[in-house]
Amino acid sequence: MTPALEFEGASRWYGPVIGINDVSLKVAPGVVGLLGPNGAGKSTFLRLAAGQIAPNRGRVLAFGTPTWGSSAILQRIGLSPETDGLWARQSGRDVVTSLLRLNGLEYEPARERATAALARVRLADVQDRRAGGYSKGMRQRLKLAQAIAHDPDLLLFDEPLNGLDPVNRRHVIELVKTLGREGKTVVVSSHVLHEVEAMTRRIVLINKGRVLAEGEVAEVRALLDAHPHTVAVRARDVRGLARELVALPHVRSVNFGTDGQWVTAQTAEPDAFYAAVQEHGDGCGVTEMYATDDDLESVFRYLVPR
Amino acid sequence: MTNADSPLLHLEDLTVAYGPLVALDGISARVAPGAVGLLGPNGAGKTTLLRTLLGFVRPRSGRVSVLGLDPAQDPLAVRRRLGYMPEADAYIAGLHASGFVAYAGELAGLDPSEATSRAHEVLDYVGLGEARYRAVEGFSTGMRQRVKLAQALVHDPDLLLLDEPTSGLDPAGRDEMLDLLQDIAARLSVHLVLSTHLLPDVERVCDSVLVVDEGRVKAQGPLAELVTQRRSAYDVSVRGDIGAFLTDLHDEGGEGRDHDGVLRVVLPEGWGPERLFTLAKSSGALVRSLRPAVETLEDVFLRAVEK
Amino acid sequence: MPIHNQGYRRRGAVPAVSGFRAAPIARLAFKQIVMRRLLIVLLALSFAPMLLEAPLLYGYIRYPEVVATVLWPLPQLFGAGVIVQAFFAALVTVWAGTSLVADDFCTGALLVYLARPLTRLDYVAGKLGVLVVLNLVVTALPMLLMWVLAVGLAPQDLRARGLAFVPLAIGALSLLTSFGLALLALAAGAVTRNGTVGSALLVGMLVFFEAGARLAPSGARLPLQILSAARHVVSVEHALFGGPGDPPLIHWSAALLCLGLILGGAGTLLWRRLKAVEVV
Repeated sequence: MTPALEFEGASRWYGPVIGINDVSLKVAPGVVGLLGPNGAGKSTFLRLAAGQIAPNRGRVLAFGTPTWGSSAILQRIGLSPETDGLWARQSGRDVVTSLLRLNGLEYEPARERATAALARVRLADVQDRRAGGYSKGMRQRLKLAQAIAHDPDLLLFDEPLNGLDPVNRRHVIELVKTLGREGKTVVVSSHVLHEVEAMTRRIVLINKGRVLAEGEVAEVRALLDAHPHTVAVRARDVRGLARELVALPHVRSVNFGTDGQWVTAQTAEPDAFYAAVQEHGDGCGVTEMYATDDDLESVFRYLVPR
Repeated sequence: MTNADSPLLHLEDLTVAYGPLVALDGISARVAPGAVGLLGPNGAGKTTLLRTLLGFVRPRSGRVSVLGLDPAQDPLAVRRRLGYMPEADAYIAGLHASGFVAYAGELAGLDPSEATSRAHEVLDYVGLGEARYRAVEGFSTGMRQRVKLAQALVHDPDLLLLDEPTSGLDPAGRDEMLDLLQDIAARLSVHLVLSTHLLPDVERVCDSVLVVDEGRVKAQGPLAELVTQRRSAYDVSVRGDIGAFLTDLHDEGGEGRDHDGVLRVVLPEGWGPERLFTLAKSSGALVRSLRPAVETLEDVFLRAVEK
Repeated sequence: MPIHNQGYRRRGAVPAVSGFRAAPIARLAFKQIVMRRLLIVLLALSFAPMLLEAPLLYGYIRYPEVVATVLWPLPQLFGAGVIVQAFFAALVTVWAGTSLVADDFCTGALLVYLARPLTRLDYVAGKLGVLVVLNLVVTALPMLLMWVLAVGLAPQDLRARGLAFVPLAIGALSLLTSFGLALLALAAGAVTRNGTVGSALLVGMLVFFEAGARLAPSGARLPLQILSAARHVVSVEHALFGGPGDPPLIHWSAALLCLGLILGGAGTLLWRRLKAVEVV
């Protein structure tokens, strides 16, 4: 099946500055988080995917067609960029309607779709107000409305939650998840890792123009051998539990918390570890257990050197 | 300096309006010393509150006190003890970092030599020691945020007002900034008012929150009190036969529901959480994490704003 | 990166505001102006007319009969001299004045200023003060030096030649032009938010209206004359020094009024722009 988005050995530079360097990957439908430090190449990645620029080497394809130079394929792509557009004079609804008309729709259907898109991003009550008077959060949602209005199959969102208050943040996260469930491909680039985690478990991590990791967060985490898993356990009989854990060959180290209730262990085989805790959990009175470095933040920190 | 008892901020029936538009409608709140997160939807009064605290807007009625001072009466006295870190870019063209921060100190009333010495100290503290002789125009986003923090700290304020301090920072930068803010709040005993939309930032740095929506205070108080824990409710992540696990749990009298891969479980009567391990073993499942179910700040916020 | 070392110490004492609040602003403005090389050149150039005027003055005092037939009376020459200096002051202001405020709008510096314990008025006072002083140096100083020279050469003729009041007149006219130019420059910078465009606006205002007042068809002339600040300054100069040349079309009291309106307008624009900057 043709992947929604594919990079084939794509490179792009700006004079001497490298944007992305020999990137090859395929993106299947659903939501994918695009992560990386500043200057890693995320914007270049999105601009290539959106057909705004062409790769210097290799190819960038959406649904099998190169994104550069084909206006047909652009109909199936929606981009919400990080920067602001200039739509001071028109109302929000007019802005989206005009863009749809540029895509070839007639006035009436364009207006209907615009209204629907604006409702989806909760701008319905201000859609006839001048876009120039919008707050930062409203402008952001207007960008999102523009991106989804023509019902594209591939969506590219650059920092989609920028400027949004917590209520709208939650709403857009749900919107992204819904779009993913509808079968669309949504690539979300963001620095706010816990929000990316709320949207999806699939990530593409890039740094210095190259792909560092790609796949589900748990998979990526499991492969990071150099960083054994750290698990914190709270138990009534802390020392008793620790005695059992120390005996296990895959447990690298065991540390006690200062309050006498916690023990933190490092293990190379998390599942074996959990099985061991499960075996003794009831007897030792375990009331809490969690991996302290299993989340996206930790994965990011391990993979991207500071 | 405020003593431990007097509030950091005290609002009493505060009404602030721009002509016919009432931005703050008779709000009252006492904010304890420490770090407070100021939350609220855009355009709902948060910005007006900040402007009132800084003395830029005079209330129509009611009283406001910051560190025991009244910004409506003497805004300059308040600003002398306050440091403000704006969200937008703020620097002076042509100056390098140490020159800029020293100048900011002079503007706050320090004499030039003291301002220079403090500027270097503060730049070291925020981690810009290496870049202090470079022009601010050439700085990256992360560095600019740090310079903004430095210029807010240079005159040794008692209260720091921060507007979206992690805006535009990548994960590493955000981590470092939050570390700095935690250090400032905890070790240096500078009070913080953190205005942001990023609730995890508030959870990490602040002791209390103030939620402002529709011109009113919707929630207020120490985080520990607002974020409640439901007794005997736990978040459990399980691998293996989840269905069997849940069925067995139900049979024993407990409840469990699947939220995107994590099970929200209510324990059966008289059970401690450790018995879940035995249950999992007998159902053929593996428990991978077990945590008390705690409301997040987001839950608190959404509930407060919905009313 | 770990938490940074404890280089930051709490002082515990609230810093008292020493001296004028506007002082640091004025100091920085001065530094920013002086840093530009071309400005030093302009400043030097502005003293160049003295090279011509000194010998002229000498000639006038030694051989009054000869020179008086060719030139205007001595006090009026001072008046003309001030106008010439004012021209240089205008150059300096156009070059250095607009970016003082324009840059601050661009870079968000006003957010830094206004969050401090100082008022918008302090801000304007600091910037304006430096520009006014600079302009005064360019406008008044050379002419005062000339006056000292004249008195030195012929002290006994002080009263007779009507030179006694000249320093006051120089001072008054210089102050008027210096202040006016400075305010117009700051306003132009605030409105355009760009040093270069602001300079262009300022030059345009000064040159366009004056040129228009002279060259426009008679119907359009009056409004242009009213708006030409340069023209009003010349009227005031005539009133103070008595010449040179034909009396101006606009009476000096009306000229002062128009100047007041123009400057008032500029000041209002500047103030409103400052007020419009929302700190939060």
